[in-house]
Formats: sequence, C-alpha cells, structure tokens
Amino acid sequence: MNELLNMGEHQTFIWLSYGITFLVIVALGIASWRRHVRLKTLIANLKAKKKEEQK
Amino acid sequence: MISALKTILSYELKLAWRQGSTGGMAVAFFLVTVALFPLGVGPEAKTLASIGGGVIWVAALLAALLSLERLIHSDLEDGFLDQLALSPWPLELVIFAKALGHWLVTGLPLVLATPLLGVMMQMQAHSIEVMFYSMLVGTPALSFIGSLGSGLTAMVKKGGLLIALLILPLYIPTLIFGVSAIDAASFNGDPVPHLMILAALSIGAVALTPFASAAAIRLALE
Amino acid sequence: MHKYANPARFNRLANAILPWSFGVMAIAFAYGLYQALVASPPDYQQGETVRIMYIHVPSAWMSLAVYMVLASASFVSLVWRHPLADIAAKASAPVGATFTALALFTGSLWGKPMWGTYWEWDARMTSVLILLFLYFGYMALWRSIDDQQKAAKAAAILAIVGVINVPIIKFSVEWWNTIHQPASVMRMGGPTIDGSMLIPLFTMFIAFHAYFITLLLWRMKAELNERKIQIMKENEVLGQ
Repeated sequence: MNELLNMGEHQTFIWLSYGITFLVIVALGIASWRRHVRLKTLIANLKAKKKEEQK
Repeated sequence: MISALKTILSYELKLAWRQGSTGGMAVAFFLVTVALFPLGVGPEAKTLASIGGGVIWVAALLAALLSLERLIHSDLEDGFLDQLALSPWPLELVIFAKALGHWLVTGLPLVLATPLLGVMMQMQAHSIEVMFYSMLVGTPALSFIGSLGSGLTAMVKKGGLLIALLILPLYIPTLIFGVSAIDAASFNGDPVPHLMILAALSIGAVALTPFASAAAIRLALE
Repeated sequence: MHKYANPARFNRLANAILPWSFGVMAIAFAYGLYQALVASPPDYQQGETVRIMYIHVPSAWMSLAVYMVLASASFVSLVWRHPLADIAAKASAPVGATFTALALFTGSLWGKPMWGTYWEWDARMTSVLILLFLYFGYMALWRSIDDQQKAAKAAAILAIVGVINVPIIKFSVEWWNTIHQPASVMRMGGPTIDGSMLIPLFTMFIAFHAYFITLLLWRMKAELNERKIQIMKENEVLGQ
C-alpha cells in the first residue's frame, strides 16, 4: 500500500490535483443528481395533489 | 437612412452636452486613473515608459466601460427607444448611430487626451504618436462591442458590474493589438501590421455588433 | 403544441440514455483511475508527475468541447426556438466552467514540478483563463434576468458572440505571447506521448464525456421539472 501511494518527490502535487479534481467532480455530480431527484418528487407530489383535487 | 443617422446622432450629442458632457467625465476618469499608476508604481521614468502604453489602454477600456451602463438603459427608461422602435428605421441602424454617438462623445475625447498622458508617463515621442493612432483606430471597437453589453444588460436594473463581466473578456483582443503596436514602436519595430489588425477588429465590430445589440434590445422592448 | 410534446419525448430519451451513460462513467472512471495511478509506468522524463496529465488534458479538452455544445445549443435555440436547446445550454454552463477551473488548477499543479512555476502567462493558459471568464459572464447573465425566456435569448446572443470571439482571442493571445517572448522555462509539447500513456488518457476521455452527458441529462430534467412546477403554480394562482 505504501509503495502504491508513494509517488516520489512530487507526490503532493499529484495527490492534490487528483484529490481536488475528484472532490469537485463528485460534489458537482451529487449536487446535480440531488436537484434532479428533489424536483422529480416535488412534481410527482404536485401531480398527485391535483388529481385528488379533481376527484 | 442618412437622416435617421443625423437625427439620432444630433440627439446623442445634444444630450451629452446638456448632461454636463459624459465625454468630459470619461476623460477626467481616464486622467485620474492613469495618474494613480506613478503613485502606485513609483516615479522612475524607465518603468513608467515601459508600462505606459498598457496602463493608458487599460484605463481607456475602463473609461469606455463606465460610460456604457447608461447608453441603452436610460433610453429604455424614458421611452425613447420604444419610439425609435416604432419609427420606420431599422433598430440596427439606431444602435449603429447610438454606438457612433458614444464613440464621438466618449471615445474621441479619450483619443485626444492620450498624447498628454503619454508625456506624463515619460514615453518617447514616437511611441506617443503610435499610441495616438492605435487609440484612434481601436476605440471604435470599444464603443461598438460595448453597445452589445449595454444592450444585453438593458433589462437588468443595476447592470454596471454585469457589463464589465460580459464585455471585458471581449475587449482583450483590442487591448492586445492596441498595446502591441505601441510596443513595436518603442522597440524600433514596425507598428503598421499591428495597427492594421486593430483596424480590422474595429471594422468587424462596427459591421457585426449592431445586429447582435439590436437583437438584444428587441428582447428588452418586448 | 410541440412545446409540450417535446419534453415528454426528451424525458423518455433521457431515461433510456442515463443508465448507460452512468454505467460507462462509473466503469471508465474506475478503470481510468487504476490505469492512471497504478498500472501505467512513470514517464522516463517527467517521472510520476506525468500522471497529472491524465486528468488535466481531458479537463482542458472538455472546457472547450462544452463551450461548443453550449454555443451550438444557443444557436439552435435562437434560430429554431427549440425550448430544449436553451435548457441544454443553461444546464451545460456550470459543468463547463467547472472543467475549465479544473484544467487551470491541475495545469498549475503540473507546471510547478515541471517548469518551476504555478502560473505562466503563456498563450494556452491565458486563453483558458479567458474562457473561464466567458463562462462566468454567461452564467451571470442568466442569473440577472428574471424572465426566463428573455434570459435564454440574451444568454444565447452572448454565447454566439463569445464563440465568434474564441478564435480571435486565441489568435490575439498567441500574437501577444510571441511578442513578449517570456524568459520562460516552459516548453509545451516537448516529449511525445508514449504508447503506455494512451490507455489511461483515452479511458479518462471516455469517463469525462460520460460524466458530462450524465450531468447534462440530470440538470436538463431538473430544469424542465422546475419550469413545469412554475407553470403549475402560475395556473393555480390564475385559477383561484
């Protein structure tokens, strides 16, 4: 494991760039996904409400 | 067509004159901004001469930018644009005239002030001469590209900062060629190709931006 | 009529694509990371630092590719008034801006060990920085106009003007760079790409594209639903 993580003298740069890049990519991905899910349930609820009102 | 141009231009010029001359304020802003640099960087003649062209061009960009916020917005507020839109003149022509008016009122005074600033920045006579031409050829691009920013932000209540964000990146080519002509002159190069490209940028802006600005202003008028 | 028919069809299409794009993205990222960090050998010249390239180059590529998507969508929205096009343009902007920022960030972290500097005003880095400003302006314009339809058109005009300007900016920055001839340590494009680098690079390219498609579809669906909700609420107010 240690051998795997060891990237030589410039390892800080390598790990920092990979770390921040994937942090940002994952964060943006989760944010987009959550907004999508939130709005999907919101509109489903609204539609169900409307149907009930029409009954 | 010509009469439309004349009408709008004379309106712009009168308005500028009555409002205590935007051009005068732009020039004052231009002078103050450039005068800050020796105070910030130090009075050493060599340093000032080497940064002079760049500083004066950047100050000109900012001076043009600051006067743009009101270009379309005020006409929209007082209903003048609605009237113009109802007139038989195409909106593109109206915008062309307004941008030309902006250049005459703001751009031209800046151009005329550059030799003075060049002397203050300890630049050589030849560089100052080329700088004058580069400003003369380049500032129309600033007014016309600026009219686009002004049109896009016409619907926004406080559009000043937004205009800067939209327009400054588009000003970069003008800045680069404007300054590179001066640099060429200071290092005994030939400034003419730089000035030609700068002129091409201005002609392109004059020919194309009225269409984009008019499209943007139609949105605001809807 | 087509205004309402289209989103339903888009939703069906998006639902068909999403599992695939998500799957490809997950697999490509996993395999790409393994290749980039473990399996590929260090470069004989750059050493381990070359690994930064496997995320830097795809980010830089995507920063421009997404801007092209944004501009084409804006063009479609202006010319054919296709309502999905401006949603696509709006949805892609934050993703593209993120790629651009990441390209600059990883580039500067790659530059420090390679050329001894985090930032160099060279033509490429400067143009990418200006591209980031174009994204900022585009997103700011969307935010400042309340009326969504007007915002869409204004932003589309800006995007098209921006895309005409991209080559001019590139040309001017290169011109500027050759004049100033920085006393620079930086020489891009030095070592040729070795065969062993192609696998991680290619896998990451696929991963980044699949990531963009997945996020674009999610964001477009969310945007569509948000507009639907707004219309429903407006109808309710009118109905009462």
